Amino acid sequence: MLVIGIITGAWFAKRIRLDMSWGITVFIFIMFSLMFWMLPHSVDMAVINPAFNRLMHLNIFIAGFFFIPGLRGMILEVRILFLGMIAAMAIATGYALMVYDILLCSAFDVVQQRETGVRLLIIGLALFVFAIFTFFKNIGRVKPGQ
Amino acid sequence: MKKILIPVVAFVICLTVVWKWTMGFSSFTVFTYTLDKAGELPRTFPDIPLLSQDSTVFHIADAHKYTLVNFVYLNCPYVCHKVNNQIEQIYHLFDKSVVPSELGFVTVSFDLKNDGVDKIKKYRSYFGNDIGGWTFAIPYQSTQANFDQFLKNIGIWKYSVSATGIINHSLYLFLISPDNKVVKVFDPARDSNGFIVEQINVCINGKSI
Repeated sequence: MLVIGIITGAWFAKRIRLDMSWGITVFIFIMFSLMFWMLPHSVDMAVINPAFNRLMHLNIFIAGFFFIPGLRGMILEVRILFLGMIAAMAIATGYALMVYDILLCSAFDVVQQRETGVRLLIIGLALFVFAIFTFFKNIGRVKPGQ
Repeated sequence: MKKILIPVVAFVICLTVVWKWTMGFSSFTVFTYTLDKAGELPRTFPDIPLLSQDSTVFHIADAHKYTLVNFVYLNCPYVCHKVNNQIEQIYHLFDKSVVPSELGFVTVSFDLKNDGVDKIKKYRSYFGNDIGGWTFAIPYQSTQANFDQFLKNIGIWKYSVSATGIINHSLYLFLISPDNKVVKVFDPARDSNGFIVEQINVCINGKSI
């Protein structure tokens, strides 16, 4: 849903103009959305409760939708901070899921928990590389005093 | 001013949602959430009739002594037996002057469909003959809905994975006082046997914790 949201958002990105204030608001919303659905309690509820599951899909889609428009209108420092924080969050959660022997989500088993951890770790590392790439790609474009 | 206000309000709203959802950033899993939702300690242990391995109907409230209660199901592939092995070790760490006169152990199966008296009796025999005061039980004349509500009131989360038949559940051990109050909750996955025994002894000896 996140990827679908990002693709859809990228499509509309040129038509959506977000200033600094709304850009940061969108980043806060995306960060909290991702954080909320990383909580084991939220994951369990999404599996058990169909209405909660729909809410998760909708929330993640909206978060994904505003990802590219949010990034476009934002200054480099905030962009790097945002990407770095999401990467750190994914890496930390992925690592915790990977090494934790205790079942965190009742709807899954420990093996699935570890697999999710590995995938999340890979996504986090990829995001981290993307953040570094974005930083070095744009750092040269920043004029002195900007 | 308005420009700062928008992200600040968004931040406060998001933080409030997560704060409420995790009961003040303390319950991140469904297990801890259910336990915290059951209420603060000490709280009254909900009453339910239980049927022992000897086909005797009993109530934990009638024991009038400290009772360590845990919940398992006998078709559990792994963790329930591990917890019961841990309880067996805890049981043998107590002096015979304490168990069963001052402390009892009750292991309740929550698999109403598959676990009967014969099955729990046979299962109990695996722990040897010298476990007087450790009762294995199943709910007596209880519907699934009633029993699920009982578990919820205690603070036990239970979820049946329909594809595998596995019941994922909380592993907590509840220490019930002689006046039928939950006074301590132990997590066998985190708390060591030594810690559990020490805490129970403190309660039995009447010291404030």
